[in-house]
Amino acid sequence: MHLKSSKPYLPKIMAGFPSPAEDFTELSISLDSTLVKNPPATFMAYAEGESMIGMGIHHGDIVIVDRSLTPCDGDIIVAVLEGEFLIKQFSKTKTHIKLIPHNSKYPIIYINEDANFQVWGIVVHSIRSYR
Amino acid sequence: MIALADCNNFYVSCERVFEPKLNGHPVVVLSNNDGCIIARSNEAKALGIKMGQPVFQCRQILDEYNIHIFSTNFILYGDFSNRIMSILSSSAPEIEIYSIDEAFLNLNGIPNKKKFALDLRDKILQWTGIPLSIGVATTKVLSKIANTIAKDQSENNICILENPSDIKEHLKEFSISKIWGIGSQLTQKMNARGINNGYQLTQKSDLWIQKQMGITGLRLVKELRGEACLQLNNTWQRKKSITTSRTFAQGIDNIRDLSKALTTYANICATKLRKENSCAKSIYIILGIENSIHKHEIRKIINLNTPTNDSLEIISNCKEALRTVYNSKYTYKKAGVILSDIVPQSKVQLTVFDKTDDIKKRQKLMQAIDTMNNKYGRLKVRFAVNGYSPRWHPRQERLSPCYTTRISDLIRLKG
Repeated sequence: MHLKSSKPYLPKIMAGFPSPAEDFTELSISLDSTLVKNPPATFMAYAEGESMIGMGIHHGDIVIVDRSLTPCDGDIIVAVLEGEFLIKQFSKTKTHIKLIPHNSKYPIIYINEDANFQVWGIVVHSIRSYR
Repeated sequence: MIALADCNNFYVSCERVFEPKLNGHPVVVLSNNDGCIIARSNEAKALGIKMGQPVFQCRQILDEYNIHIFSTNFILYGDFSNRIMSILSSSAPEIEIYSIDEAFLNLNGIPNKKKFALDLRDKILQWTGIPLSIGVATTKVLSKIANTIAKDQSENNICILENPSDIKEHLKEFSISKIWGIGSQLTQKMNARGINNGYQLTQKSDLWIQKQMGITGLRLVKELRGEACLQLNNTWQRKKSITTSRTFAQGIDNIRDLSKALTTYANICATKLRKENSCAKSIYIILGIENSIHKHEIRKIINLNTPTNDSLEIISNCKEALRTVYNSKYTYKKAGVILSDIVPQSKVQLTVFDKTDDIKKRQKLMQAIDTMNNKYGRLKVRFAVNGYSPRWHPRQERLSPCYTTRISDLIRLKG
């Protein structure tokens, strides 16, 4: 997932009148540089299950995870809890940490002090394909 | 000041990023073909597993302690290496990439070395999940020693070796066999002369050192004394030779399969050569024979009139050479190709017999193949002689997914 520079589209030289747009070429839009701000710290993953539907993250969506960011209250995160990868909303108050699902069928996970818990990265984008 | 940043148990650490449940459990990584141990977690080291130990020798410990075993996944390790090196080079004014998991950094102009090292360590751990140790000293050789000391400090894996009396104390404790650039032969020679630790070496006269260890040895000892002789080497160097060789999971006893394997390695070598814009003038093929009676290697050299990086030309030469040395009596355990006498592609002198038009066409063909393989995956476009038979492929039973380079292999998050 390394940044590839996109080349501007330069037409072959025309024999007649030169293109008036030639002096105004810009690089094409690159999804890489739009979605990946910090390439060495960015990873991708698949979201599975239904617990984040309320946040618009569905089963099979690709999420882009930036490990260089510090988790803030309300961020969607990739968590590792007892060795298992989870995607949930992060909630941190003075007294405790919670992992909040966005589907009423799923319970809120309270993180105990002695839990084997780690914030693996921050979800910065999700991508869903429609066809 | 120079820092040496070195990842801790690098291959194991890469695997653990995507299998966090293995933190705290013993883990090992095997060599190509799953033959030997090439990386160990601290827990595996504590169980007495040795570096380079063949798997069959430690089978019992592996089973008894339920040690997690991985086949080597260089695609994954290479991706992590690129990430780490890119963070290092944007953090320090100058770096020399020394190996897949080590780099020297020039810290000139950085006021607080300790803080810099701690921040850098934290940053790489957070961004990539890979722990590293940093040793800082006035010379490259001392920074290597500082790094070894840092690795043993469980607290923060940072060691700043600056104070002369500190350096002296550490060198007294440091066996010369562990000093960078001193091999086992030189160690024996020095031990026989009563020199066992780094400090004793620094006390000898320049004349004596040069006589015993040559000019490179003298440079090394000066570096031990704190006098910088080795510069950071950040200029990219053309490889002197390119090798691809593999040991087979099962021996091969027919020329067809052997030829498929050998030409595949020839193609891999040629691709590496083109990546560096180089050409090679000599090709070696290596065949390894092993039976109950003996074990030996056959080498055959082919010298080309004009240096090349054309896969087809290198492949056909290897095939030709194989035909001349192949003996149907033997079972072959290993095959390999070495390209040497490497020159820049721009400096290749054509002979009067070379057809420039043909060469240009072939270069275009190679470029097209490389472009497709970069886009669709390694060796997706290859040559018919390379075949499709998986029989000779090296054994990789415990291979982890390519989490960072293949879209189908991404980790799955439970939501």
